[in-house]
Amino acid sequence: MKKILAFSLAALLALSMTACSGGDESSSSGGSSSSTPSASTASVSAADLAKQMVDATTFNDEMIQISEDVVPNYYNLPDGVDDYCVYLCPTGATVEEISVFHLTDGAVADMRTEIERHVDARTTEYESYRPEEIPKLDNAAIVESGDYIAVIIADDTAPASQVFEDALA
Amino acid sequence: MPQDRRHHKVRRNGGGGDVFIPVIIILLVITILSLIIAFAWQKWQDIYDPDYLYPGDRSSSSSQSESSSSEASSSSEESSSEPESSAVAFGQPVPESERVASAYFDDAVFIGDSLTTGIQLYNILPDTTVLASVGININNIFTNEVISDGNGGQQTILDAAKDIQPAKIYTMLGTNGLKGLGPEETVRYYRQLVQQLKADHPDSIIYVQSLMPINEEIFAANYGYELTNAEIDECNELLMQMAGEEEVYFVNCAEAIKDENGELPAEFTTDGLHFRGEYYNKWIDYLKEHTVPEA
Repeated sequence: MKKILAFSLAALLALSMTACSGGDESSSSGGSSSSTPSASTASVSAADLAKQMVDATTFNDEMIQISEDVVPNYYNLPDGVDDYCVYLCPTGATVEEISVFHLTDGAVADMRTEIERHVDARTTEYESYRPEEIPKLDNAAIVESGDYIAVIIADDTAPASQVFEDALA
Repeated sequence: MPQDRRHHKVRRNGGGGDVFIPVIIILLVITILSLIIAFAWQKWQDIYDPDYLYPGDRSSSSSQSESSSSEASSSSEESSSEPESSAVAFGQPVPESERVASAYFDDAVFIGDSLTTGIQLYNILPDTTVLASVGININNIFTNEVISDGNGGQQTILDAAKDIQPAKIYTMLGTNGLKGLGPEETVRYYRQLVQQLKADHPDSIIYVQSLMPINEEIFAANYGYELTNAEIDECNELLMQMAGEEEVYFVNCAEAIKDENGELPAEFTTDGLHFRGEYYNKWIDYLKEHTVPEA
């Protein structure tokens, strides 16, 4: 009898603790998210690499890692992308960006084409709106190493390019 | 000796029973209290709904799990998300109402420019729909194809909205071209937009949001021309009139952003026009407290 009672109490306590933690998880985990699809073959996480590149770069406004759900609004991801991470300026005040993509064999060229389309689209958006941002787009750095490709849009793209090369050397 | 051992055993059991019952009672009381606290905590979260903490405080996590948890919380909030205010008159700002939860915006669409894209990029309302683009303006929203159609092509914001049929539509446009167009022309285009939205979405609640204030000094330094909050206020007055004539609702969310000088505070903006995450919270808070009853 005591064992049954003890077991019942333990279950009840566990239930109450579950109830305590069953609130809206978005309050603690919302916002930017890790854009790491499952079954990635990447040896270096795109999120980790992008974060290092962001940390090495000076931006004119805050940058945020955007949700995986939002990325398709900016990129038409080709088949073969299995890991990616996009940082943008969320206020829209600047066109600055750092994005990293990992692809399976042979798809890097497709992603480069898509990045170039994206840069053109951003140029169209900003040229009549904030033309002073256009030089950053004109000088956007698209860097490749193995199955990785990244785009860096900032005043100075060299530090992030160096981080990319060093991480994948 | 065997008899002594039995004797001790009986006494040990008897003493344990005396302690066991109070322990059970205490545990039961603790359990019931914790359940009450857990229930109260969840209800408090539903009411105050702090699910858009400043993004800088958020940890990185899978958006898949985030999405599903948001849906779960949304459904639990839904019962408390409908406002109970009385009928709201057209032609004046939507008055303060009972606060709704984030789930109120799950079937809403936000239409706008770069300010509105921030709702999506900051992930303030993860389950709402944002149809917005940097640089879009009130006179080119009808033709500029800025929204992905999901098949590699682009479509206009209005065409994208047709595919969704939202219950509520929030619009905020006009600041980008205000200096060039002027308040009257801006509102003339805005009326066309509202009429188009009414035609496309006859059952939707349409909220015209006021233009947001700027920081005049920083704006002039960044954009190379001067725009004043007086001009923005004038445009907002005309927008409110137009909204009344078109029988849609005007939400004066600018008052949530203005400081004591009627400006966007300098410390929350880089270019005088756009603001950071903290002010998105103020904006969305205001919208949650200024809604009209659904039909």
